[in-house]
Amino acid sequence: MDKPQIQPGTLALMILKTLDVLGPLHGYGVARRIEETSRQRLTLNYGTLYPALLKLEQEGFVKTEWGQSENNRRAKFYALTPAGRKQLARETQEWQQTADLIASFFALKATP
Amino acid sequence: MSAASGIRRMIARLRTAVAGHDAGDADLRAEMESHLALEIDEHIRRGLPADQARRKAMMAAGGFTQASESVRDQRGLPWIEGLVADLRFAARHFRRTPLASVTMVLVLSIGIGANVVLFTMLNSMMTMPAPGMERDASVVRIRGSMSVPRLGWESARLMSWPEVREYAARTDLFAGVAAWADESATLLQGDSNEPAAVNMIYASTRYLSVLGLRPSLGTEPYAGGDDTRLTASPSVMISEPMWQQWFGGATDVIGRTVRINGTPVRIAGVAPARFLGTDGGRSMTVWAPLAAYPLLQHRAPALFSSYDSTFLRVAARLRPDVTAEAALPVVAGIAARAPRAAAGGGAGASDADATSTADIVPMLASNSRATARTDMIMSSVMAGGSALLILLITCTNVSALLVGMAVARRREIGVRISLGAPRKRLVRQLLTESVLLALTAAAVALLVTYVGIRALSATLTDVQLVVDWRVTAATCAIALATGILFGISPALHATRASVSDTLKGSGSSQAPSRSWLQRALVVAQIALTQPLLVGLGVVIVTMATDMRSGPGSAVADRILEIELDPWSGRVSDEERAARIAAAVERVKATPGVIAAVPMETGSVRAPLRVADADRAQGVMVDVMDARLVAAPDGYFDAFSIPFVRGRDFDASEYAYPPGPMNEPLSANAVIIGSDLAKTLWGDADAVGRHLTMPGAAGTMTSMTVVGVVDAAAAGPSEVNDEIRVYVPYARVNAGVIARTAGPAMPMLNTLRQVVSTEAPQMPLERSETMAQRVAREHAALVRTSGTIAAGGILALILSAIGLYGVVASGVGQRTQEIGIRTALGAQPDQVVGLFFGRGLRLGLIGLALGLPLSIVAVRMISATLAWPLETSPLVGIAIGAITLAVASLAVWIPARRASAIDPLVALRIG
Repeated sequence: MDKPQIQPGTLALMILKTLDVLGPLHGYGVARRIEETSRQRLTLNYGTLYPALLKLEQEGFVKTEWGQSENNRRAKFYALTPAGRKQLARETQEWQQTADLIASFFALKATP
Repeated sequence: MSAASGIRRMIARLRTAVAGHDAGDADLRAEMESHLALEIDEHIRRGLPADQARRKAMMAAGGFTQASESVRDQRGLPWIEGLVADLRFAARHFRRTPLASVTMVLVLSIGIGANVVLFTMLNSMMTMPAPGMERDASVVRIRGSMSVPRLGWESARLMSWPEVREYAARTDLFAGVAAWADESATLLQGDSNEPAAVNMIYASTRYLSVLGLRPSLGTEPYAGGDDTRLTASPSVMISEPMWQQWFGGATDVIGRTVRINGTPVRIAGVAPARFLGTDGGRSMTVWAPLAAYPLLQHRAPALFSSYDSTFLRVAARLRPDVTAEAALPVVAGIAARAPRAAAGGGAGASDADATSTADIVPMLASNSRATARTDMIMSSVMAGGSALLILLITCTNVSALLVGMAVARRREIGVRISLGAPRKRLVRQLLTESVLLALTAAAVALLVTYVGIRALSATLTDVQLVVDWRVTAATCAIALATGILFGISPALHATRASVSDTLKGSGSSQAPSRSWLQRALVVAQIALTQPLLVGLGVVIVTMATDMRSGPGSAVADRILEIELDPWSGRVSDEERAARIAAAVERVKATPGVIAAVPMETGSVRAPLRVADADRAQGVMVDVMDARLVAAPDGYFDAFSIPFVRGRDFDASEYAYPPGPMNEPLSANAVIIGSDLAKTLWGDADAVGRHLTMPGAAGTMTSMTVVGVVDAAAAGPSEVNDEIRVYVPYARVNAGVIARTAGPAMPMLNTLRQVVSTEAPQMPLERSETMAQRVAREHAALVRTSGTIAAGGILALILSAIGLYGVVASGVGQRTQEIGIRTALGAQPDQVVGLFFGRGLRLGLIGLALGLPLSIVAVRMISATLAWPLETSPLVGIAIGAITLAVASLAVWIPARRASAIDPLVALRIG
């Protein structure tokens, strides 16, 4: 089975949600969590992951800090900012609405 | 995404664009390495061997470089960064090729500048009224003219007051009709007793309102409100320059009194800024009421009542619903009924077949030149044509230069493509270069235009130059678009070329059609430059020969010329002659003066023939166009001109014969120069021989040569196909020529006062030494011919650049071939010869094509300017030689460069 493409704009939401739930993570951690959460249906190479992380940082939704990983490697950690938390809430709501809307169309049946 | 986050992101990207990517790249590199390490650790922890763990992690990463590129695009502003890099690269490129870059900017900017200036002149003349007036379609001139259809003769005609009244009566057509008389007068201000010559405009009461003007200070000139009768003492309006220069711009000038031709008048107002009458004119101008014309110019008031006294020019304001076309038949009808009266006393005007007519034309600078100055319009039309030509040449040269430059860069482009530069990126680079060049050129072009317009408006007083910015922009756009188009078109071509071809050098031949076109344009350019240069050269040579035709230049600093205006005082002919004679006597009697003679106004031309009996064998002499120069008593002494044979005129010959003024001058004795004597009669004695001149009513006047003067002192007798003979008197004298013992300059004031005292009615026109006049005329000649020559040199340089571009690009394309030839033993001379010969052939073809065009051009200039030109073939040959020399240089430089090509280098990289 082909792995599904990541829908545009959804990667940012996935990253924000992951950081919200798991707290500060390094890039590898973010990638691993997203892949696990998607049950390996998504894979993130560097060319996809890092531009998205940079964009979030530039927008002020995440802040970065170099630190020590659990197995004592130097790594750059991403943490959600208050602005990021608000953005997550807003995007979650918007996504929910869109999903409900689409769902109601899928539920549509031909009336006899 | 909120607006705030968008702004935060933009700021972050801008900061990177300015600060650069180095820190970010290093950080990302470290981050990705740490990512890789963590992933490998994880795989090892799950039990994979180290090498497999590493490979799996690397596969998941998907390429560091690619990721770096993607992040880079996110981090900064790639578009702006690219532009900055392109600009930096372009600037570096221009620094490396300063000559080509500067040439390109100059070609573009001078081309654009020259175009805009020429167009501005033409356009302003065609669309604007004289300075100081607003553009207003309802203001028109009513121009009178006389014609004799049988002879194809036509001349401008002034109008009489009754005729003007008839136009004014058509209130269904005209909201107002204004008439005015142009005169000159002496003006004395305050207690000064030095009269100054001023321009007078005697204008009817509607004058300013018809023209849509009001005084900038004070009120209109006034004489009681009637146009033909003084019912109040007259007041006048003075021009702005007069107010500034003579009255220091003081506002209390209103109410001051000046004397015009001796009559005191009050200053009522100052004319609108820059306004000097509907045709432009002298800066010292006074407007007086028409009713004051008889009083101030000493004329009989009866001149207002007769159809015969024509002295007025007419302008009108059309009613809003009337067009000039609709009014034309009415105006022509009125004019046809107006009795046939002479315009300026021209001989042909009294012809019984003459019909008078009138037309209506818009109040524009171009048609202020009723008939005599139409030639100016013609020449500016020619200038308009040459503007287009210059634009074409500019575009051609720019394209030639750019093609040459692009060929030289083909290898660079090939290398960059092979290193993986995307085609879009290369085109953008070249586009940036072209645009940068074009913008620089545009800036310089504006400067050139500004300087050109300044210079031109100082020269043309009767045209208000209005720069049409739309046309300027369009001209700039055409030239710059050419630059940009040709700048990138070779780039497109080059980037399309396959990498291997370019690198191997086999792709280095130009598309043959393009180089053919380029060569043809260069040939056309040289062919067109040639007539331009020859035309200009002929004009300059003619002006220079006219300059040196005067006598007595050896004693020029001891000759004083005091010229009066003979017409403005309205003295009778007898009175004027007597006054001048008295002034001459008084000057002659002044200590320090050796000789004094009256100065004639203008000179008379006549067709002369050698009397049949006196024709020398073998000398074919047809009718000669002669200028009769008055040599009154003492003339030859004054100029230190010695006699070679015969004698000076005697007392009986000096006496002016009685008879009407408009009879041809008929002297029975003449004196000729020794050079003319030699031409006509060789070594035989010329004294006693006869010349004939047609006299009144078909008679022939026979004139006996009584003396021959030294041509070396008198100046050449024949200038521009016109011969000079001396006659004993002038029809009208208007001044005094004095020869002083020592330098004349210290005596200038004394003698000027002597003349003013003797002839107070006539204003002083000028007073200076002959040396000063010659110097002044010389300076004017240098200035005019300098301007003309600059145009010619510009054209020559432009075509030389075109030639250079063609040869240079040829050398660039054949570098490898030259390398092989040199390697096989070709000498540098042979290589130079190869390119020199080819380039020069283009120049020679251009010259050959240009030759017949040159002859046509000279004929055209001669015909449009009604000017006998010094058409020596020497001028043509000299210009041809100059063009050839410049072309040779333009060809030699790149040809020389070809021979300097090192065969090793050429073969390795060519």
